[in-house]
Amino acid sequence: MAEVITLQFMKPGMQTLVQDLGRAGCQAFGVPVGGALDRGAAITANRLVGNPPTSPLLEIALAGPDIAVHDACTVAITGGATRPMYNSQPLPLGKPVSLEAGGVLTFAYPQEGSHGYLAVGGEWEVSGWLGSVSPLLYSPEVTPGSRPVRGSFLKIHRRPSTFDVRPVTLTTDYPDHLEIAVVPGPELNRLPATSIQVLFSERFTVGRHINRMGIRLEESVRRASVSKPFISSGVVPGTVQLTRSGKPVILLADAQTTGGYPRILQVITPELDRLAQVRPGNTLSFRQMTHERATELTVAYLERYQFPVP
Amino acid sequence: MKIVPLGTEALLVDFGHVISPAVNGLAISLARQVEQADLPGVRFCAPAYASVTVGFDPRVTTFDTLAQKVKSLVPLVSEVAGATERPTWRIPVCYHERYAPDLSDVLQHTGLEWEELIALHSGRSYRVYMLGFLPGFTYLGSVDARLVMPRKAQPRTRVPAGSVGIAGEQTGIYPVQAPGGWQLIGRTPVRTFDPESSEPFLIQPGDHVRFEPVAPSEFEALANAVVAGTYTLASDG
Repeated sequence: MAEVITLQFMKPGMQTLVQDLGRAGCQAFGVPVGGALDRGAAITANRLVGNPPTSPLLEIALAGPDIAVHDACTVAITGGATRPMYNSQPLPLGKPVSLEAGGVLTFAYPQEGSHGYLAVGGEWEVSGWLGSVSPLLYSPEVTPGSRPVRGSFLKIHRRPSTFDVRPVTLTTDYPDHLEIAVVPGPELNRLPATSIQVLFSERFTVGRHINRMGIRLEESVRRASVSKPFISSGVVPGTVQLTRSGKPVILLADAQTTGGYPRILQVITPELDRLAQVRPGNTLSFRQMTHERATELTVAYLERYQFPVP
Repeated sequence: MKIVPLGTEALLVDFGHVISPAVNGLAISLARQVEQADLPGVRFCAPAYASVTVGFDPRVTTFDTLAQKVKSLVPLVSEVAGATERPTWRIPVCYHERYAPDLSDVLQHTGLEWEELIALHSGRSYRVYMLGFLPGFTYLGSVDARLVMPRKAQPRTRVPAGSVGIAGEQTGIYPVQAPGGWQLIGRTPVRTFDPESSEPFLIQPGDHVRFEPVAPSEFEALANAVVAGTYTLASDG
């Protein structure tokens, strides 16, 4: 067996990116965290092939790539129900699968969910920047290997797996409506009581334009714009901003690090994985949670997936 | 000053609704103090105009514990504020219409002559209040009251790297090509964000920036020097 596994993109798909868990610590310079949107699914895929949680893998948005597998390898596919096939034979999701050399891995358009993850066992040869391979939206040259194009290669070095494998939890259900747990944001109290009531009772529709920066919701919390101008201040993935139009925007991994809109809610960390799988037209409602309970759930989530400790 | 949670993995130190060098200095100093204190569980620390966001791992520390520790660093801030000299960067800018797609709109809106706009914009040194929006994007303030311009109603899908723009009282430099709604009045050949450098972000919060007008021919020469790697960004102090 070759020491290096070579994969080649016959076509890259709609938006296939090499991701990991992103880069923390550079927010002061305007660098977003980045990283896989559905981190639970990403870590699970890596775990299934014996890779550590921080290993790079492919994030596949909706229409997937066609990948020529030049060398035998072990893969695992998780996340939004991408329907993977190898040489036109369906592959199971959420299991380590051995692929023989010489076939083509394809992904039928998913029925539900929007982001799938493909892990390949071994050490990925992808150049990173400031500790992550996650591509910067407007500086693609910084991590040139993170945006596969037609004909480009991925090289993965075989290595004995050293990661302590624990049982995995698999999410396979991607409903059209989600109730999302939130805690109040720093500026929630700037809203009139009637708007707060709307915020916690209304169903919001996911807008047509969703991307790795955020999810725009279509319904307004209030008609009149929030009167006072707001000085730009820090935001993090999961921050819900109220834009001038009164429509909430939920920020995701590639969002900018500061924002000039009131931060009305904060989505609790584990819920970001579910938000990563929504599609335009899905609906969301917000359920308020105590800070104490939200912290418990966040800690449990970080422990379950063995996120690296700073 | 108040400290409030921003979700379960960050806290926000809020110095109030004010844009001033003193308050911003406080935020920047506190951010540096927090970083130097190397507190357990802290993932990142980012100052903004009048606030500091501190990201943390709730497995390692709690909001209450960290808020207490951060609070205890605040008194030290007054002692260090102003104690460290920050550089003033000299940024060459060409205000020629070739590099200033919003020039005619800005001149019309402000009622200024082109020469006046150049003199006003390059006539003072600006404080770097914060970095945000894009990696290395500097929020500089404040511009002369006569230069205050609202953002463009329809943002551009592509603003060239190095573009210098105005939004409200702020002025800023686009480090890379990106979409944006600032009114573009010039362009610098200098790259304020160099990912390949050991110091990708040369200009830091609390620094100052002064724009130096250059002619189009000089812009081209400087741009070539930047590409060739023979240009070094100049600073005082």
